[in-house]
Parts: sequence; C-alpha cells; structure tokens
Amino acid sequence: MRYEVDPAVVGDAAAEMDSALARLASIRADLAVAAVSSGLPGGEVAASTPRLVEAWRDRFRDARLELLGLGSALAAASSLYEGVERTAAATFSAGSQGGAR
Amino acid sequence: MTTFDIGRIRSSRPEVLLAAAQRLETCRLDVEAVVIRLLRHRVRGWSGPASAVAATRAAALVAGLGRLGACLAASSICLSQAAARVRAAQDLLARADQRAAADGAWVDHEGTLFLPVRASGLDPVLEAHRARRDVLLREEVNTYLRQAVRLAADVDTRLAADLLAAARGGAAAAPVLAAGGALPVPAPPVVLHDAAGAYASAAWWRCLTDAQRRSVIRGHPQWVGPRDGIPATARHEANLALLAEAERAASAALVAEREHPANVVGVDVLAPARRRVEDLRAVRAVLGRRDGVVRRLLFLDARGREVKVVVAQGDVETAEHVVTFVGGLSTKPRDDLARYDDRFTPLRQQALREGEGADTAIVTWMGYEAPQPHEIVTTIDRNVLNPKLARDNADELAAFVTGLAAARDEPVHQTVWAHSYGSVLAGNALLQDSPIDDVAVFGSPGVPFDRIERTGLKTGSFNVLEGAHDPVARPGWPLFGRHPDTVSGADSLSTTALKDPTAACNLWRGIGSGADDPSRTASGHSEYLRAGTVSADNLVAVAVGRHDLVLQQTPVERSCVTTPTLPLPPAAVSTRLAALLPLPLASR
Repeated sequence: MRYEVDPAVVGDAAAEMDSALARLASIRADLAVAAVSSGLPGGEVAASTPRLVEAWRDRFRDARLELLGLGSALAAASSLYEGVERTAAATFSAGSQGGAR
Repeated sequence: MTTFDIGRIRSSRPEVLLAAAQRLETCRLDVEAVVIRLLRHRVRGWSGPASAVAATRAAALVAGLGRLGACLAASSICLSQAAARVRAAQDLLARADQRAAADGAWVDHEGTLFLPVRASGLDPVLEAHRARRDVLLREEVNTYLRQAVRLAADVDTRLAADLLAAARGGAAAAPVLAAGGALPVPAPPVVLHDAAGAYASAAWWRCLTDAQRRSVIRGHPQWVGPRDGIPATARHEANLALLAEAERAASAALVAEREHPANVVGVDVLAPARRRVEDLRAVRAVLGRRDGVVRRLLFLDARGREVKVVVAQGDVETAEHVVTFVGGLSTKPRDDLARYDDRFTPLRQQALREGEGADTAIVTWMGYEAPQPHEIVTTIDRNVLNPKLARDNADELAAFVTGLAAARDEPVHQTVWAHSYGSVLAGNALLQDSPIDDVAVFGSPGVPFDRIERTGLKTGSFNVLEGAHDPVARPGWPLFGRHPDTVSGADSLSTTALKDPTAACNLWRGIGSGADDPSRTASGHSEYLRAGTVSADNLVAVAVGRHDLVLQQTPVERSCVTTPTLPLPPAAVSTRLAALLPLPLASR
C-alpha cells in the first residue's frame, strides 16, 4: 500500500467536519413536527407527536455524534501525524550533528 | 384506532400540517447542503490504511445523512398530502352544510342533521315533492358526513404511523420511503345504481388528492369512467382510455371472426362483431366533431350485445341546465348517436337564447340496451311490449342524474326528455329518489304511475307531448301503466301549429291535411325533436325552466290530435270529391 500523509490536509478535513457539525446542529426537525398535533387535534397524530419530536431529536443527535466522532478522529490523526513528523525530524536533526565531518 | 368525529374535523387545521411540511422540507435542504459539503471535501494527499478506514466511515456518514434527508422528504410529502386530504374532508363537510342550508336544514358542530318542520296538510303534490327532497337531502348529507369521518380517521391513523416510521428510520421506514409519500388509492365504493351509490362515489372522488386522481384515471379507468358521481372531465378522460381499449378488442374480434368464421348456415356470423366496430366508430366520430362544441364521453360499455354509451353535448359540470335524453325502440349508437347530436345542436343554441344566456348541456343517454324491432318476435324479456327492460334499467338513469348533481359544486336544473319506450324507463326512474326537476315525455306508450305525487315532481313538472298520427302515443299501451296525459297533475303540451286555433278538425280536415302548418307541427312518432316545431320549442322551454314560454295543448288541438283523418286521396279522386264535399280537399 502506498503511504502518503499531509497532516495539514487531514487537519483541514477535521475542520470541515466541525463546520458541517455546526450546520447540522442548526437543523431542528423536532421543532418542525412539534406543531402537527394542533393540525389534527385529538387523534393519533396528536397523541404520537411527543414521540415524533423525540424520534427526530434522537436521530439528529445520532447523526451529530457520528459526525463529531469522525471529525475528532481526523483531528487526532492530524495531530498524531504532526507529532510523528516532528519526532522524525528531531531524530534526523540529532543524528546529523558532526556526521559529515 | 382513535375515533374521529365531525367536531374534530371542523377544528382541524390543514394549514398547520402544510406549514410543518414546509419546515421539514427546509430541514431536508439543510441536510442536503451538509451532504454536498462532505462530498465536495475530498481529502487529497492522504493515503494508506488509516485513510481508507476514514474514507469508509465518511461514506457511511454521508449515506446516513442521505437516509435522514429522504426520511425528512417523505415526512414532508406525507404531511402535504394529509393536509390536502383533511381539506378534502372539510370540503365535504362544507358541501354537506351547503346542501342542508339550501333546503332550510342545518348540520350542527357534531354532525347531526336537523330538518326544519315542514308545513303539512297543504298541497299533496308539494308534500310529496318535499318528502322526496328530504330523503335525498338526508342521503346526500349523511353520505358526505360518513365519508368525511372515514377519510379524516384514515388520514390520522396513516399519518401518525408514517411520520413515526420515517422519523425513526430503519426498516420500518422502508415502505414510507418506497412510496415516496404517494398514497395508495383507496378502492372505490361498490357501484350501486341508486342515489346512495352516486353520493358515495362523489364523496370517494372528492377525498382523493390530485395525484391520486391522475393515478386512478391512468391505472384504473374502469373505476372512473362508468362511475356516477364523478366529474365529467375525469369520466371523459377515463372513458377515452376505455374506448381505445374497446376499439382494439372489437377490431381484433372482427379479424378473428373473418379468419375463422363460425359455420352457421344462413346466419351472418360476422354481424355482431361488425356492429360493435360500427357502434364504436360512431362514438369516436361524434366525439371527434370539430364544431367548437364541448362533448364528453360519460359512459361506455362495450361488453354486452349492444354498445351502451352516454355522450354529453356541452359541459355538464358548469351548465345551469342539463337535459338527459332517453331514446326508445331500436336506439343504437351506430344509427342514432350522430343523428341525435345533430338534432341537439340547434336546440342547445335555442336554449341559450331562451335561457337568457344560461348554458344548457344535452346528454344522449344510451345507458341501456334498447329493445330492437326483431326482438318483438325473438324474445320475451327484451321485447318492446314488455316493461321489464325499462324497469331493470331505471336505476341506471336515476343514478346517472343523481351523479351529475353530486359531482358538481353548484346546483343544476335537470330535465329528462324521454321518447317512446324511453319514457317507460324514465317513468320507472321517476319512482325513485332522484334530483330530476322537470320531465317531458313524448310519443310515450305509458308510465307506471297515475298521479305525480308518486314521483315527487312539483306541479307543472311532468309534461306530456303527443303528436298527431303517432301510433305509439295514441291510444297508448295499457301494459305499461297509465297513458301519461291521464296522469293526475300532468301537463299536456302543444305539438301542433294549427292555422286556425279555434277551428275543430274532422275526418277530412285534420293535421297533415290542411289544418296545420307542417313546418311547425311535429307529426308522427319521430318529429318531436325537430328544430322549429312547436314540440321542440316546448321541450327547450321546459329544459331552461321557462314555464312562461311553454304552450299548453288546447282542447281544439287535442281534438285534432286525437281525431282520425282520411288518408290523402289521389289527385283525380280529390278533384271529384272536392266538387261533392263542402270542405276544400284540394288544399290537402
């Protein structure tokens, strides 16, 4: 397998996830359906509206968690790759002292 | 299932459901924007095992958001359709309210119909008319109320289930997503050929969404075309599909008969298949006329021995007056459809003039297999001398006129013109509850009632036309019941233009022999609809409710119509007789 890593690119992807997460958090399907009970009062729709609101809230929460998880993993990977780069660079720097003499 | 009652339907707010649908659609667009953003942002410059795992997880996330968006879309569509159906239920209530109010009744908040106390002990004809209207009122209003409750309950149950399934996602959402929010079309009520059936069908149709209506016309034209109570435009569209199907089947049957004729000596075995093709051609030809007149195919049934068809000239959905014409012996599409259509064109124009601009549509109702001349000697049940065929098909006519009214938003003045054996059928239909306002029977051999109270018509609404030399109308055939002009409460209308309205006729001077103006007189059995005759003028006046224009038959005319006259003598004899007799035979 070919290995290629640009920690900055991975960091950008993590930032993009954060931005998407903020957008997703602003979507309130639960509030959109909360009013349907007054559209059809006294029936099954009205009785099930609280469950409906809860279901949409859960569904979006799950989506946000998934997005958050991916974003966090990308941020961690980016940080890890940067750390590896730094460590490797430091190793080479240390090994090169006086070696050419 | 929660019971939905009228009060709940009245307090429902479809606009709230619609607003929720719009908000969910906005949510879907936002989710879509997130998905687009994730898809666009591909990580370049990163490869290896970790990158592959991250890509797989990102793809799963995008797919999950896609499903979320699809569920939002399905929920939004479910809500929109539910809003439309709740509105339909409320429209049905409004129609029930209007219908009740039109007759001085009302429906309370909970859906109970209250009729006002009607005055009694007055004119028995008026009481009978009032009673019939009340029966129809109850039937119509209660049908609408029942259907509205059924619809609202169905909407409520289905919407609750679909919204929850879509919100929860997973396997439960699959049917909602597969339907894409499109509701399955509920099966129509069983066709019942009476007022209740027409009202039930009208209510069923009113409860469908536009998308469902389009779908049912396309997918099940046989549910729509023949169904009384459905608007003419929809029936026409469905019946055109049925006509094309019938044409294909009839042509194929004719080809098959030609290739493999049944071997029956002395019998034209191709005749039935050929007749069917000719009947359908006649229907197609009338519908294809390019004279600027709207024609609607309201019924077609090519499955029986004769093709049954109903064609309207004019728009029965909007015209203020609608006439339904019923023909008699030997009526069939290939011979008569175009002929009647020709007759009705000038009569509609005349009706437009006399109706003070109000439009009149005229329907040629061939909704029964009329008895044919040869059947007089070949059958008993279909014999023109037997009223059975008329009795058996009266329901169809009553349901048809009831359906015309039920399908409309505005009230309509409805008249039935019935000729010959068709008047026997119409007479039987009048014994049922139907919204027929006026009737004109002409060349009628008899009707099955002796007073108009039995029909529920108002005084002045049962009109009889009898021309001179009509062997069917005079003396009438007792086996059909009463001669119509002996029915108590019937009005006998003029068919004859006498030159001298005060001069009685006799054996030598009568109608067709000098006493009348032939161009204005309907003589014999088949001239009643001829434009320009007194008879046609009267029919038009009845059709547009202009009783002030109706010419009653005078005693002198009656004596002329019923007095036999000698046949026209040869010219030579005529000259010799003229010299002997005091009356001027030469003018005959």
